[in-house]
Amino acid sequence: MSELFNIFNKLFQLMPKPFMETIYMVLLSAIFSVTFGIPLGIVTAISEEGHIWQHKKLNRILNILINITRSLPFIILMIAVFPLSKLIVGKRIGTTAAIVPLTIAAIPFVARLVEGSVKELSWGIIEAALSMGTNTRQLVFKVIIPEAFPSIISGITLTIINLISYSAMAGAIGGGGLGDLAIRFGYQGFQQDVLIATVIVLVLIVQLVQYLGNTVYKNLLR
Amino acid sequence: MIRIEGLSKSFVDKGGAVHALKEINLTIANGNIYGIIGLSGAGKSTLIRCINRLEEPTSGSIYIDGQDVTKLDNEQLNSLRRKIGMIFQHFNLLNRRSCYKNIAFPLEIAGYDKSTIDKRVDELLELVGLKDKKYSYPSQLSGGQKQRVAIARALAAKAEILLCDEATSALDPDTTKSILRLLKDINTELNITVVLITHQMEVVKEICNKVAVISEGGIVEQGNTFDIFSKPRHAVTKKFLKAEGTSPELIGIDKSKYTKLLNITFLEENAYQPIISDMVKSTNARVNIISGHISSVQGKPYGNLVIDLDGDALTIENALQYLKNNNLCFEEIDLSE
Repeated sequence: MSELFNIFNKLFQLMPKPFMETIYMVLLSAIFSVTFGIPLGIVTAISEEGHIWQHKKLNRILNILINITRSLPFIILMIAVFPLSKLIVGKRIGTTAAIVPLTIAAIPFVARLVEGSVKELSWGIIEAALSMGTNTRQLVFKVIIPEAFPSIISGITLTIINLISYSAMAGAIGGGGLGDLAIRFGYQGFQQDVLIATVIVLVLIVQLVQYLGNTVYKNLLR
Repeated sequence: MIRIEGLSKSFVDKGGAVHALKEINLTIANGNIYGIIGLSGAGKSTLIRCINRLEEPTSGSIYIDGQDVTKLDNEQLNSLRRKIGMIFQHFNLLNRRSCYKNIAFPLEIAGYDKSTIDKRVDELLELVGLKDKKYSYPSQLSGGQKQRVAIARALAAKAEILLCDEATSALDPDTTKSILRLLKDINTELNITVVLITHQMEVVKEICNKVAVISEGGIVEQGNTFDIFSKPRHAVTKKFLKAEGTSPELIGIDKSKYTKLLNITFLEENAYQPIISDMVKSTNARVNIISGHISSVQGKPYGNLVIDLDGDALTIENALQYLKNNNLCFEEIDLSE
């Protein structure tokens, strides 16, 4: 009994800081990637041939950019953006510095999901809005974004879950957070209880995020 | 007034150029309910979309109240579109907006203030009979109700023209009737010109005073609905009547047993005279009645009768002459078919 107590005691001392670090990394990178990813996704969708703001060249450039960023393995991307992290947050490693590669990895991900959400809107709805004399700006803000919103929320949920798993990777090279705890204490320090506890906490966070995401999505659909 | 002159539209498809519309000429006077009927792929959808330029015509002009639509820039086009409402087969309501908000949409984008919008939306809900559904969402409405909201929305910004793109094709017969009645009311009470495309004969017969039949990108027949359907000339028009069962369908009949098959159309002016009986008396021809029925276009009845004339060549000749002299429209049915 006292052994179990000791384990819990240890976990309560070890967990809070990395837990908060993970939340901090995921939350901020989610906010930034959504801020940049949504406009990028919308522009990519509507600049496509035959859509409401056809710009073939721009569309091609955006697609190439998104594909390149998405095809880089995250671990490589993290190291590759060290100079940029240094420029933006003044540090190359650390929890705050990790937000830069996390955001950069998530922006094209969000963009692709948003692009999909926009493209799956029925063309009839857009046509109806056009027939009423809606201009491009009104179409985007009054039709496309509100109509695609539930689907965009699903995409954001997926992004946050991906960021949680990426943040664990960021932890491995000095980003802190739960991933760091699992590797340093659990794996390298042979403390299996810490390893298992970290995994359980991560699973619970993912479940919670998915649950919240689903709830919001369902409430938006009527 | 809508005047379409030499309108053509071609697409470049994988298989080469497709000529969806070929040199269409059409005039639609104010206050008409103008039906454009055609089979799928005939080009009717492209034609109606050219009127508000949801499709860009390849060549030709479209004048609405003297203004050439094809020459407008984006801004002018948007202000013109506010005067032209459009409804669709699949309603195309904004799913995340209530009925109220859907109807308010065209007013919002035209920049009306809140109180004007409120007042106008209430008027329109009253017009389409959906006052109790003001705060319902499209997913809570039936197909007919959705189309009513769509009609209210299309008229919100004081449209003068209403374009209907297969507006009743996704509805059941009863709902179709009620939507058509609404369109008719709108036409008479608000003096809105209605242009509708459809593949449903009954839609045109029910409410259109004018009709154009479109086939393979060209208009093959146009005129008053009653004239077109009571005396169809083009094969496509006849096909429509046949499909609806109001044209003699002689499948399964051994035509070799007949001498001279005639399809006679009785219009109002000769519907009340016993012409056939008189013909028999005066020419001694023998008449065998094969089939007959009565249909109506916008409440105006007309009848069709298929008869076989028997007798020697001279008797038949006289009989035909008799029918002609009495201004009866008829055509001979080809026995070899």
